[in-house]
Amino acid sequence: MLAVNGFFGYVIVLQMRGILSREPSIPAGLAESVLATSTLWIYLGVACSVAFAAAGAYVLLTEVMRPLKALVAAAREAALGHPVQALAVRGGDEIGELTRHFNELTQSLTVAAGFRGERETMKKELDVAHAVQALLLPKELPNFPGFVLNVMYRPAREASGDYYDFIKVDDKRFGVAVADVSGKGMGSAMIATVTRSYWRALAVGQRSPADVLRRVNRALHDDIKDDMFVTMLYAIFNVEDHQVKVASAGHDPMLICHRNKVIESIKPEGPPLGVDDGGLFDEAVFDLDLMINQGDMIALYTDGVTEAMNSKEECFGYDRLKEVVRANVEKPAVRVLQGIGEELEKFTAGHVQSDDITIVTVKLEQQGG
Amino acid sequence: MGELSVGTRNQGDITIVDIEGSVDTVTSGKLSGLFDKLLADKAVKIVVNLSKAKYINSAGWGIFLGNLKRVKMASGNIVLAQMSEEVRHIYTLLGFKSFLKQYPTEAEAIATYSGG
Repeated sequence: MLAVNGFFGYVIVLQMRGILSREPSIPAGLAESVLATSTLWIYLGVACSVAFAAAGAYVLLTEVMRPLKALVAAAREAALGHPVQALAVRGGDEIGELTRHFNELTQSLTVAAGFRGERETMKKELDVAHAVQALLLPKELPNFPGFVLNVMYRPAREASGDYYDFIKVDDKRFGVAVADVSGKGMGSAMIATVTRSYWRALAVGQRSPADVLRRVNRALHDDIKDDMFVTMLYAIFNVEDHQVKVASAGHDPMLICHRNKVIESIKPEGPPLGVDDGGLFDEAVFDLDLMINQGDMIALYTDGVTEAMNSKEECFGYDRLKEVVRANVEKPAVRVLQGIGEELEKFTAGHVQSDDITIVTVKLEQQGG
Repeated sequence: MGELSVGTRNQGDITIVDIEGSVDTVTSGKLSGLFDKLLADKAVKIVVNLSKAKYINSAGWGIFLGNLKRVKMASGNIVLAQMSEEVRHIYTLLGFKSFLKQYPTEAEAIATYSGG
């Protein structure tokens, strides 16, 4: 611009010189002073143009170039995942608007990254909870003469409070417990491990499952939060005379499928563990006595099985469970669990599993013929 | 999973809590907030009308149980009324009758507070 101005200024001066020098009527002195004045004005004009040009360049720089440069730099940082400060909104309408939108965008990204960070931390915590739970479950199925034990344990994605356990009560008896802590998450998983520890310590040598539940209740009651509770089904099997004693603390019924395909639902009444200090609990739980025969299949489970849902929000239900057990009772013991697993998968058809699924089957093998 | 609305009515010094909808992990906060308020206001003679309650999950039952202790310490109680089939099924299965009493009608539930 300067060059253009300078060029035109020079041309004008030259032209004027030329014109003036060719006009004989204009005295030389006058011509010179006119030329000098004109030249001065032209130089002034050029200087003003330069000044305006400089001013214009400055405006361009501050209103447009610098904010744009800042936007570009910030966008680069954001793309790399680095935290970005909000930019000062300067500049004309479009640039100002662009800056405002950019600030909103980076703010949203920061909030989203915060959530992602929280989720990742939580996921790590739950992975730890799952690992701890897995460690505390029985590492292998125990061997009790004449009985076949099988287990299906499918925890839900979020750590929950299901667990199962076995114990040698004494030389003639073994115990099987299945439990479900209310709620989900780390808190429930931790109460599950606490309950298991109390139970393992208190069940040894105790022949009455109801008594064990009373002791576990008393121990748990202080540890557990007011709004949480634990359901448990505890059955003690006698390997010699095939008697079974069962007690329940608010848990789902125990299924017995006899060899002749008759199914019984065993549900001794009793409230859940951890709510009451024993004043009401102790009176309410009791032992139920049964006999089982060779070929009988018993299933202890948690409500994750019966309440497993499909995409139509229907529950798998108790009847379906009974049918699968009945259909497989004469087959090798492990077939019952496989059958339940297959039916569950078919029914839920990939619908997300929302609750832990725990099933323990106990089959009294048929001896000889 | 569902919507929940909770409301209260008074009959003398007895507060009747109306529950409409589902109490699940998402909505249970509303219910526990209501109980906090009732306890703060010393409204501890509580009848819970469940005629419009479709579903109560373990968190919901936990709220009743957890607040039961607090109201009992303040010489109050929580009594349930008009449970639906589905809700009664869980109530029975879990054996809550040892802790929480229930009645088929609201009137019977309210009557438990009179006569000392």
